[in-house]
Amino acid sequence: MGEFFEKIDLNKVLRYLVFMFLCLMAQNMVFGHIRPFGVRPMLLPAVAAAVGMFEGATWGPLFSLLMGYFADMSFVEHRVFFLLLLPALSLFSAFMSQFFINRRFFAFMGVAFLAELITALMQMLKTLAGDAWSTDMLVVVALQTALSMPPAALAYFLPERWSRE
Amino acid sequence: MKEYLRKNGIRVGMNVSGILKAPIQKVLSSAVNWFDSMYGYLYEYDSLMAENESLRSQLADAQKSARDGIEASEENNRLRKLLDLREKHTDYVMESCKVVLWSSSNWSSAFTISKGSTSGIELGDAVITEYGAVVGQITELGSTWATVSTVIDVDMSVGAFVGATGRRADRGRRPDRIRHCRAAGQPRFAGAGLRYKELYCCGVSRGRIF
Repeated sequence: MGEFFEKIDLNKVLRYLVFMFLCLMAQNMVFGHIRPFGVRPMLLPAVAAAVGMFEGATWGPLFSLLMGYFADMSFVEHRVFFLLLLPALSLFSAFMSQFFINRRFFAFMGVAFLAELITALMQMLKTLAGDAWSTDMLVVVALQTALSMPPAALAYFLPERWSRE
Repeated sequence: MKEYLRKNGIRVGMNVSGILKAPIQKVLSSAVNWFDSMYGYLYEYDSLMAENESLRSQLADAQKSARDGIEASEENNRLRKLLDLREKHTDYVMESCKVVLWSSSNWSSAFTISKGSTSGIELGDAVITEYGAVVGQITELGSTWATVSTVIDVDMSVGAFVGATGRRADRGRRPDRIRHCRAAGQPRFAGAGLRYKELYCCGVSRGRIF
C-alpha cells in the first residue's frame, strides 16, 4: 500500500484537482449563461477525453469518475449519467491514443468531437425515452456538438504539458 | 505753430509719449500674462486635480445611492404584489425564496431555490411568481434547498385552462391524458425556443407550448 502512494505524484494530483474544479466552474458558471442559438456548450466530455489521452487508461477514467460525480450534481435531470459516461469516454480516448492515433492537437480534436457527439446523442436518447420525437432534438445535438468544439480546444493544452513533465 | 504749441503743448507731448509707450506696454502686459498663466498651470493644477477627484467620488456615491434606491423600490413593488397575492389567496401557504442556480443542461429546464423541507416545502409543491404565474413544480427536495422543474421541462405535465371559453386541456404527451373538454376555441399560448409541447384537447392537437 505504501508503494502505491509512493508512486503517486502528489503535485500532479493537486494540479488535476484544481483543473477539474476550474472546468466544473466554467461549465456551471460561464457556459451555463452563454447560449448562442439557445444552446449551451459542453466542456466536460472534451476534458475527460483529454485527460484519458494523456494520463492513460487508469488515471484518466479515475479523474473522469470524480468529475462525473460532481457534474451530476449540477445537471439536475441526471442521477448517474456523467458518472458512467465520462469514464467511458476517457477510457475510449485512452484506448484510441494507445493503439490508433497520436497525441497531437488534430487527433485530439477528432476524439473530442466524437466525445461531444456521443454525449449529446446519449442526452437526446434519455430525453426521447420520456418524450415524443422531434427534429428539433437533432438540431440541439448538432448545435451542442458544434458549439462545444472551441472550448474543447482549450482542454488540450494543460494535460499535454503536464504529461511531458 | 508756436501759438498752437503754447496752447496745447502738454497735451501733444502726453499724446506722443502715450503713442510711444503703447507697444512697449502691450509687450510687457503679454509677458506678465504669460508668466501668470504658467504660474497658474504649475501651482493650481494639483488643486484642480484634487477637486476633480473629489467631485468624481461624490458623483459615484450619488450614483450608487440612486441605484440602491431603485433596487429597494423594485423589491418593494414585488413584495407589495406578493402581499396582494397572499390576500387574494388566503388558502395558499406561501414561502418566498431566491433562485440560486440554473441547470446547465440543454435537455431540461430546472433551477435550484434557497429553501427546503425545513421551511415547510414538500415534493410536488407548485412554484409561482409574485403575479401568480405558475413557474414549475418541486421535483427534488433537501433540507435547505429544492429543485424546481419548470413547466417547459420535458418531464413535466400540468393541467391548464385555455383561453376565455373555460375549456380545460392537459399539456400532456399523449391524447389519452385529456381529462375534460367543454367548448371549442383556439388556445392562446406563445413562447420561443427549441423545445415545445403539444397541447391536446378532446384528443385533438390544438397547438404548441414553447
